Amino acid sequence: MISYEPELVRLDAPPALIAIERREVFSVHREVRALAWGGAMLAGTGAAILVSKNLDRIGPVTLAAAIAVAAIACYAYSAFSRRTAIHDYVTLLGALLVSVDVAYIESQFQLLDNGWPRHLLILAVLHGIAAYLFDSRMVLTLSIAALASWLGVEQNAEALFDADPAGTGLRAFVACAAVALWRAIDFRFRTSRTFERVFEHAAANLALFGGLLLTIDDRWRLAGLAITLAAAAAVILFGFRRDAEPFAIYAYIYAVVAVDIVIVDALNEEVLITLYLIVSTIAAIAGLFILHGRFRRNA
Amino acid sequence: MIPSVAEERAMALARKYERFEPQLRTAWRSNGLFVSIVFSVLTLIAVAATFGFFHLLEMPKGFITAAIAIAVAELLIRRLRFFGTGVESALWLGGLFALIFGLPGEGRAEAILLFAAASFVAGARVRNAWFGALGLVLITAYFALRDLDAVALAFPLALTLMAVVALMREWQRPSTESFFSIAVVVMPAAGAIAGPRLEPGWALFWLVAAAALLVSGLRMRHHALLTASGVAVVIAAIAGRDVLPWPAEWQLIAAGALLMASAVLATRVLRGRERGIVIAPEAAGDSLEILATLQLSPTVETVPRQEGRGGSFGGAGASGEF
Repeated sequence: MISYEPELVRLDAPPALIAIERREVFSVHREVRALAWGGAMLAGTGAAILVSKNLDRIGPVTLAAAIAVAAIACYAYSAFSRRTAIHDYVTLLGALLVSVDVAYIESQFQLLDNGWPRHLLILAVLHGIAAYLFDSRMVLTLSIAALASWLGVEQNAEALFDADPAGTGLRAFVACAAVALWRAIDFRFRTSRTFERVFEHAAANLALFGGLLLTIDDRWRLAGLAITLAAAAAVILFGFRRDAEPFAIYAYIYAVVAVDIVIVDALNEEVLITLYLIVSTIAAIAGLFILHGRFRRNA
Repeated sequence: MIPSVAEERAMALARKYERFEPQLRTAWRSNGLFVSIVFSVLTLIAVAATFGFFHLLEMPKGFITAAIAIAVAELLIRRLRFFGTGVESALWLGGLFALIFGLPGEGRAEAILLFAAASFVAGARVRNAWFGALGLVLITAYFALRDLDAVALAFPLALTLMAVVALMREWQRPSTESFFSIAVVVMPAAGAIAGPRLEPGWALFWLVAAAALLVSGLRMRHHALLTASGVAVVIAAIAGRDVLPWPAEWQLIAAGALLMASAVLATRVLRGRERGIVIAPEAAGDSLEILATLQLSPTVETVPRQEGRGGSFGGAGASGEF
């Protein structure tokens, strides 16, 4: 087992840090969080499979009511227990069960009829309320994902291979605008800033993903490239202002991919394409080093 | 040419406690895990493109790519003092792998040993613990490919035991400590996948292993051993899934409830403790969990009763398809 005690003593570090290096204090916080997260995900997945497989055996009303009771129990625990390492994950399990229940109720009772995609909007609202009530970033993320899905943005890689990537790309911009508006309202009316980063990452990724989808589409290629580059520049600048390097790194990668798509599409010789990829990737690595170096200097 | 023990420790300490970074600066350039992964991926793309380029030119692709990649890596290490940036390590590994891919072969299982050797050489040169662990996994895979199931289980288990023993002593280089830490987590999983089919009888063995790793982890106060214990529990659960006469969904719900209850119990037992094993929050954020939740959240696959209303409904991540 490695110990940095000698260095910390030389650096005149606080006794608390030295105690950690001596293993006099050993926190299992991350292990307990991992247990709780795994528990929430397993139970949520189990409930989803249960709903899918046992429609006839149990009966729709009983099943819907049972899941609702379980979800309410989770939320009640979050509401009335003191905040601990696992608080967030019980809330997450409650949100997962709400998702399963809403989807199940809609599939069984068709309350929304032809407007069935609106159950995603209902989920976005329900998860949004829960996120604010329990101050949960994870549940807020589920809410934003549900909102984006309602607006027609797939959250998986399959969207890249859709028949109409430009359509999904344009919907991603609408979702980006909705998230940005939500962030502005949150900023105006809420004193806590815990949700700010979640909104910002979601909006940045939706804008960049939308631009990339336009770039993939033959009809929008150059416009898509211009939008991706503009969005990437804005996100990188934002990353510098907020001293948040991940923004700059993924924006840079989106921009590199968009440029590569356009140039590879214009080249039709395999040798030229591989040669271009060598040069562009080396240039991308060099550029990223410069970007990373600037962040380190600013730190 | 590699960083001295003091330099490597200073770099690791600066990553662990950012506040001391200014006092711990060395002449070496290194990156954190996230940034080095990004650089590694980009570098491997460049190496693969180089390999493809020389292949199209019908030149000795493996040899040329390896020569260029390793020469550039050495230049970066010696001149620019790259260590743990992701670039020099990916160049070394990619270069050696390109050399092997360029060799004329008949697809024999022994080729995997060449890749294992390449991983060890690259890992030793750039002191990358992940590459060393990859080499061990590849040797395990070789035994599995040769249908030596018992060896494919015994080898990683013996290595796990050796890694536990190795972690008992105090290492000076962080990369050596990382190598044993990664090995103790990865090798049980490699053994379970490559070894004999996981019959229910194996569940008891893996549960005992999990308990032993948990006790060792708590006694030695080492996070890697606790993680390895978690891995062994997952293997035990997979092996024993047919023991319980319940459908998969109820097993998942029961397992989830058990994990949640364990977390609640640990929280209650450790609440208020300030010395020894505690549950004090650490600096790490929840970004990884948020990302994983988004990617892994379940989707309810239901068959709508009404015709013409296709699509699967949103699960927790509300991934509706329309």
